[in-house]
Amino acid sequence: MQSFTLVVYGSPDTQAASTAYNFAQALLKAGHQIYRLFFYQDGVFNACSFNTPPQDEENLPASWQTLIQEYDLDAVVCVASALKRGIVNDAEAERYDLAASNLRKGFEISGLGQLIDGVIQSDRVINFLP
Amino acid sequence: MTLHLINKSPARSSALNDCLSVLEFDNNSASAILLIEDAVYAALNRSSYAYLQEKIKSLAIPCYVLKEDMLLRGLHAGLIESFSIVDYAGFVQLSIDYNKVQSWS
Amino acid sequence: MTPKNILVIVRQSPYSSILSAATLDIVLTAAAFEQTLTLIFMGEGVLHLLSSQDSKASGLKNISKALPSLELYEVDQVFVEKDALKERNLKTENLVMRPDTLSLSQIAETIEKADQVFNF
Repeated sequence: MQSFTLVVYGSPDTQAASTAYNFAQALLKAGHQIYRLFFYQDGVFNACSFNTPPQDEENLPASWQTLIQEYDLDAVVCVASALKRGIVNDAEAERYDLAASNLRKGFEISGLGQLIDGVIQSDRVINFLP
Repeated sequence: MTLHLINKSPARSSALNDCLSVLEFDNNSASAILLIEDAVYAALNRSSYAYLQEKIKSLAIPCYVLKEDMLLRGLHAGLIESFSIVDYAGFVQLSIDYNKVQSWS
Repeated sequence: MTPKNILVIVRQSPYSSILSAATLDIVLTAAAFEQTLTLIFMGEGVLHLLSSQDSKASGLKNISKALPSLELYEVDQVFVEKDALKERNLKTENLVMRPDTLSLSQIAETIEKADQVFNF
């Protein structure tokens, strides 16, 4: 069994995000472990709970949430990337006096150090570039 | 022992070309290439990408193509035979078989 | 725990990609975690270092400004691809810092030695 950190740089509209999701599913199915999912740059849009895509399109953020909750995964959203793009949890929404919070359940906001920690702690780090 | 992960078509990005120019100098690394997303177009047989395919062949580097992305793009019939096809389970296994994975975009 | 050997390669031009911002952030964070860091500018990536960048008229952030601060964070393994400078008629004197140059074969060697590569 190997442990992986997957780094998602692309929004749910990019194939890169969906490749990362498919890879995550395949590695869990093969009995390997996800040490951390790290959502960086436009990848933070995968953690948005406000997205409402047309019915004939996959709702990738919702699929991530299901996977994260099913396997109890550590899913970290980069705080700098998230704030810049308007993805906030309750605490940040209050702190910046924003109308609402929109971080999906299952995701947490933290720093870039969590990515470097992933490099240090896991057997493999895979970058899914947009 | 690096798995080089390429995700752009050679028509849009220098990723595959740059990767190969580094691999040319990498004498005994036993590295491999995996083409995913738009990079699967680089595997089109009798295409203008023949020079890249020849280079891969001359360097004797194993080159894999992700099945799901190849099927999505309708390429199952016209791929160069010297490349091998893997699915996501194979992608996971390759990422373990090699020491590290380097993504080129 | 022995530090990891992290290599960051910058191949894309400075103002075309969101990844330019990621580069410096990752390098500085990894340095703060006391990992062994190497940064290589390859291909069009060398244009990040061009000292004549002037962002005043554009409203964008001048990407080259933050690069010399790498030395303050003890990131001293900064290199540029030798041929990439030549192909663009540039010399190290045209750059905001004076990194050593590496040939493609030295870059190949550096990639092989790294535990993890970020290629932007």
